Amino acid sequence: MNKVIDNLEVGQSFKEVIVENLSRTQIVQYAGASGDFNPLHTDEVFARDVAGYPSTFAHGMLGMALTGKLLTKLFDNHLIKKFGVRFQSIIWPGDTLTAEIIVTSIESVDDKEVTDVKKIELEINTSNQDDQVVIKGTAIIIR
Amino acid sequence: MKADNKFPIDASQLLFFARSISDENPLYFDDAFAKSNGYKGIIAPPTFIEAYHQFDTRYHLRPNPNKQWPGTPRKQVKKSKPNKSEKDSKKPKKGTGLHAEQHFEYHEPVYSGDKLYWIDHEPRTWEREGKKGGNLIFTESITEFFNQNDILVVTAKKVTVITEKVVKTQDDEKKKL
Repeated sequence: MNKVIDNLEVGQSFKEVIVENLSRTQIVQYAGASGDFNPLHTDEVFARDVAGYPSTFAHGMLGMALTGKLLTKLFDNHLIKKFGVRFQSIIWPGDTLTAEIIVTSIESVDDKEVTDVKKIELEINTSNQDDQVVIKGTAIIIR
Repeated sequence: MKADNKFPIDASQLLFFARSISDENPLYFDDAFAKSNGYKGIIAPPTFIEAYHQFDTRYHLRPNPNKQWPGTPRKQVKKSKPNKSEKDSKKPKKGTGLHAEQHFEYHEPVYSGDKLYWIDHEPRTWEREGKKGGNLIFTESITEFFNQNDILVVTAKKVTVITEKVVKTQDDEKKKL
């Protein structure tokens, strides 16, 4: 596949909308696919009247999975060695999320057997339509 | 331990998961495409491994016919109407568990047809006082996933935090971390 990896520079960044107007239905779809049916994500009345939230909200892991789409668009899956995030703010139904991936470091990690091996470190920020960061993360690519 | 924690991977699971994250990458459902890109077959998206909960017999976050589920009855639906301004309200929340961090380390691809099993490490727990009072209880859990050849494929680290006291809003609570 045509990926950006060969022409990377430190400081380079990539930005993309990863979900527009996130629906409650998609949150429930994710619940079904992931197995996490927490009523905070799947039962509006529970989330609002029993738990005291304004509405249901997305699994943090749905936000991470959506963020991962940009990562795998830029880099072949098997080159991704680490992907980690902190959940900063709640992702609500109706949110439009934009992921940004910034190249923070590129170093050679050649060993005796393989040459031209590079370790690429990435910073990842996913924000909502109000520019509030919902997910902060890092990833490591080795090629 | 190995026998209890079986996580078989099949193509339909991967397709449904990819759909749920609106990911149309054919690597997750098209065997021929995956093979033409150097993989042995259909692979799992990077965060898919979390779906192992589907196979965790003790998992509490799905309805179970033998346990009470905190669903809401029909009459409660009539009680209140959604209010747009509620989203910004500072109504106190009960102390709840939050998923604070998630980290994956990838060792080998996870393929459709793999028969994974997992090993949970003893969780590590620590406490810290929140800035607005009340203790924050952190738990770090590490789970290792192996394939049918006993090869480590993914290491997952999860950090959850439970707030002892009622907090103003979950977003406020997060800022303390």
